[in-house]
Amino acid sequence: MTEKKVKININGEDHTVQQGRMLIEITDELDIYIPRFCYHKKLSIAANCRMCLVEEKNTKNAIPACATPVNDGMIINTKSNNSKTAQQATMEFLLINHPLDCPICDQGGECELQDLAYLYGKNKSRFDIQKQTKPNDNLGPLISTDMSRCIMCTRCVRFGTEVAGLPEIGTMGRGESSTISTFVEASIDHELSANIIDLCPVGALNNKPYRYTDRTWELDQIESISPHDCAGSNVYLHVKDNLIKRVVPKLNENINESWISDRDRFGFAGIYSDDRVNNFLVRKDNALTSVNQQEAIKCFVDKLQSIKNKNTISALISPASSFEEQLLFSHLMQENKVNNIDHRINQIDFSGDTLDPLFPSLDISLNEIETMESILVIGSTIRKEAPIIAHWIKKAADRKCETHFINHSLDEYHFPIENYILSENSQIAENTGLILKAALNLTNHQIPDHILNELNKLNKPSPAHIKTAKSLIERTSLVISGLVSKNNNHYSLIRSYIDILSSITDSSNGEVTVCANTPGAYISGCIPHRSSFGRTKDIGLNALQITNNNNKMLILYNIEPADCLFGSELSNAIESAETVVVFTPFMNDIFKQHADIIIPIKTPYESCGSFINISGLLQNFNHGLNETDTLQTNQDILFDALDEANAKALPFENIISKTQLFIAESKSNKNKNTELPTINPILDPKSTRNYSLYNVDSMVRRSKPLQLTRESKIQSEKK
Amino acid sequence: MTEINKVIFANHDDVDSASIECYIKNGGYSAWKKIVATAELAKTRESIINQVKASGLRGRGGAGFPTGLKWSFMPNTGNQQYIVCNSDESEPGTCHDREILQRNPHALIEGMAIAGFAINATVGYNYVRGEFIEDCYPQIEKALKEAYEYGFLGKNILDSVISFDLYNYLGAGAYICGEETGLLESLEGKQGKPRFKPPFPANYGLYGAPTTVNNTQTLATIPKIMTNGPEWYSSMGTKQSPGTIIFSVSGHIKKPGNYELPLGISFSDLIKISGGVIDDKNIKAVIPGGSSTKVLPADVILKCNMDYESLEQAGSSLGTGAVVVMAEGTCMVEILKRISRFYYAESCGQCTPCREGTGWLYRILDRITNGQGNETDINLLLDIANRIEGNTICAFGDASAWPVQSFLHHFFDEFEYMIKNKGKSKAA
Repeated sequence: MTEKKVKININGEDHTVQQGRMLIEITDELDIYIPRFCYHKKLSIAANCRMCLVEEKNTKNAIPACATPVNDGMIINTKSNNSKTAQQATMEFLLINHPLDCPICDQGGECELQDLAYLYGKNKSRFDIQKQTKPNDNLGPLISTDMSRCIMCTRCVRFGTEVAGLPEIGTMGRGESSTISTFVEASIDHELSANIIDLCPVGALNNKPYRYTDRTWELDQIESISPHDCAGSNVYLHVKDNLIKRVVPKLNENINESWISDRDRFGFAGIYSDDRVNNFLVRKDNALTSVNQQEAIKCFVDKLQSIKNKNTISALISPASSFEEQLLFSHLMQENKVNNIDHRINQIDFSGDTLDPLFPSLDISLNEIETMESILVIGSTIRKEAPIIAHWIKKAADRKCETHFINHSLDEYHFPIENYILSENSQIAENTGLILKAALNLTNHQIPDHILNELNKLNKPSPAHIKTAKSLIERTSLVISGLVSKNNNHYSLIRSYIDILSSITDSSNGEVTVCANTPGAYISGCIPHRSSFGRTKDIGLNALQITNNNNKMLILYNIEPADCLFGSELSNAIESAETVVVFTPFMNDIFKQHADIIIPIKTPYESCGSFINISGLLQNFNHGLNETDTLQTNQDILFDALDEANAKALPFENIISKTQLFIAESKSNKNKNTELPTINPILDPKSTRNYSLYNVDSMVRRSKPLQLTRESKIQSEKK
Repeated sequence: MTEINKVIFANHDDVDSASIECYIKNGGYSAWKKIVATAELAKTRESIINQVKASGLRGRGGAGFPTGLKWSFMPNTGNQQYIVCNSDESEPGTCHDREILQRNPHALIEGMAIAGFAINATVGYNYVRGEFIEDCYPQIEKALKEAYEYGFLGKNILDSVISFDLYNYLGAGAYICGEETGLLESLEGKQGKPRFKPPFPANYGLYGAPTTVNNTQTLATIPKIMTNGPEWYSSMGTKQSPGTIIFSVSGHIKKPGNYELPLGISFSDLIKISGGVIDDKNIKAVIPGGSSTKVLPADVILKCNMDYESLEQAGSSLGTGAVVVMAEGTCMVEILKRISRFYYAESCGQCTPCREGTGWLYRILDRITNGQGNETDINLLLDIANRIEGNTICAFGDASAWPVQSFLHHFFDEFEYMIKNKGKSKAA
């Protein structure tokens, strides 16, 4: 695109604008509204709806603002009679076959067609012939279809082709009988596919679980952050009577653009599952009995303080809990001299703990992924782990970024892949080492002898390794690892290799972590080897050791065995521990049988706090769901426990700014580690967790719509 | 009497006119051989384009855009560029390209090779109408094979540095694929839906590469212009519309068919050449250039010459040169209904006014002919047509609106009569 500036006149005012940009982009920036349906900022131009026709003085016909590049001397009038006539003409055509069933349409009240019909439509139709109807496809459990309402803007089709990269729906037929459909009847399965609900300007594609539940104008809109992955996607909760009715994306160009994954959209449904715990329960005479909050907290704290050998107390907290909860929880444990605290329930190799960064993070922000020229993803089924990050990688790949993968499964990606090294789980570390070795051969970097010795034990790098190494060296690059690496027996080694590799190839690096707040768990001290804000402390047992410890008391905060890579070991630990205290929003069988104190907590959407995302961005979700005086947040419960324990007060004021400062400092001081961990062969390799999109946390597992998807069915068949 | 069949149909009487032997015997491929033998490629290219410009040849696909000028828009990117022939002849009333493909395919092949060379395209595609699968397609495939066998196509043609490969491509029977960008989409294997312009094919054409799309008749004219010179060609026809055009005369006419005649011939001469009106009736109306062009009543068309300017002045256009003659007694409402039915069925459905409007037009006309029309229907028809015209991605919208506008303009009384008399035709 040229940088040349041109003068144009819009509605009598002169503007100097960049030549070649589309007229509608310019009028949008100038806050001059031109109606549109097919145009969408994030999609290619279709120019098919003809709603944005405007008058240009020197052109015979009205021009579509979405598809007309501006040129010197254009004289546009968006409000003239000619513009209005053209727009009214389009509106009349759009409405003749539209059913106008707004009273029973969920889109009513937030429908672009409805809104514009008020401005450009007539109150009486001249079309007195029978309207067309079109068949409705079953697109799966998430998206409802009322195709007679469709105005063929093709936003959904373009989303599939361009954003998802998977053209699951297309246009069929010709003329008046054109329809939007899947080619052969099929569900729409891409992990971002439900964004077409928001894209659809009419009620043709809609939110299936939400269907016929509420009218949109009765809903309140509350800002929040998705708790299901480490991207920290911004969302709005649509709420009525203190119940979440649906979740929609909130635009954030640096994180999730205007998209969210289906998991973020439908995961909330789990909140309303039947097994929610609403009461404080204490086991009396071998039966869980409902007690008041004070009693339950007292019971917990008394027990905690009565155990003299603090090494027999262990605590696990979820990386999906808010930073504030983690901070208070770790403070409570520390005040009671409990060192056995961890959140790393998806890790089995802890040999590199001493080499741990202050918190795992991505060197760059999510939107910067798009600018990378070479990306290596090591041990990650990234589309399932963090769909939004996979989306950014796709955007980079679409811009000619070379993508490289090492993974144990051959995952499907809808963009060109430069190199895919399919590797046994046990070989992921070796393959990473071979790329490092290849990179060392290609550059003249000096590394310590003991590392060189370790690398010399490996085979010769294959052409595939050399190709990837070369690409990382020559291009602006990023190396990231994911949960498959995290679950790996050689996780620490992989991570050290990545650190060394990225320093000699001058790449950015980072780690895709589970749940929304793994960085927060590190910073808040929910790890056995460090206290909050990176301070030292007496080293306690790690998550895996905790499950093998002779526990007098086991405290689980927002964790279920199903969240855990070593779930059966954790179940055993729950069974064998003398006292089991669980803070949980949900009940399950093992809690029912073995928990002694159950403290009901709220899910993130119902509480408040903050999450720290993968790139170290602290985001607040301070608007709780119930904005009433009686709102009891999870923090309040933990404060009560701290009071009960007579613990030193935690300086909670300015905690957010203090944390942000800490994050900024540790990110700028982040030294890439150039050491190898002590390589301990781990004798008992755990089977790799069958990573599933809709199995990541307790909320998602209970979300009925997500559990009905094809993805969930495939996963349960695998089991 | 005006001389007929001078250029493309020059060897028309030869039963063997489609064969390469007959074509070569009559001077065919000599222009191409001369070009291929040249040492100065750039100069030759420039000279070809200048000769085509000098001949005044205008595109015969309907729009009448000067061919030489169109070719001069092509950049020389150094990458793959394409020449595409639009043989998707579908405009109702038009049937001359079919005859070219059947009777003189080598003129097209040679024309495409020359055009390809001139615009730096080493690959050409001949997009052929799907319905031609049985009568034309085997013949042009045969001709293509012959041309390769004689070495006129392929790599390093006749031991020169020039290469040109040509492929025939059969469409799937959609009128809209005759629109050049719809054709390109179809050629790429996609749904035949026109692209928004700009960018034009010369900048962003087939597979995004610079592409020129020309009509069959246009390209088949090129070899003769090269051999006989642009002056010879422009000596025929008028100053603004030089050369010859093939008229496809149909309707109430005694000898319907294709007649290659100089542009500017008077309409009455054309009727004489095609044998006069059936039963020697008077002419009622004529669609002068295919169904998309505006209808002209007899008193207007009888004063017209058949060239671009005269017909434009008369309020219509030369279009593809498909002259549909309607004699006295023809019901204009029924004719318009039939035309609207065609556009309703052929709309690609991509953009709103055409997708929704063409069906609406047809249904109103249908109910008028069924005796169920309302008095407001005529205004409604006109209003719908006006609202489609100029508001669509491609010219299809205009093509569906113009007949409605012109039929209502010239034959308003017939529509009014039919509505008032519950479907009875005034013409009967």
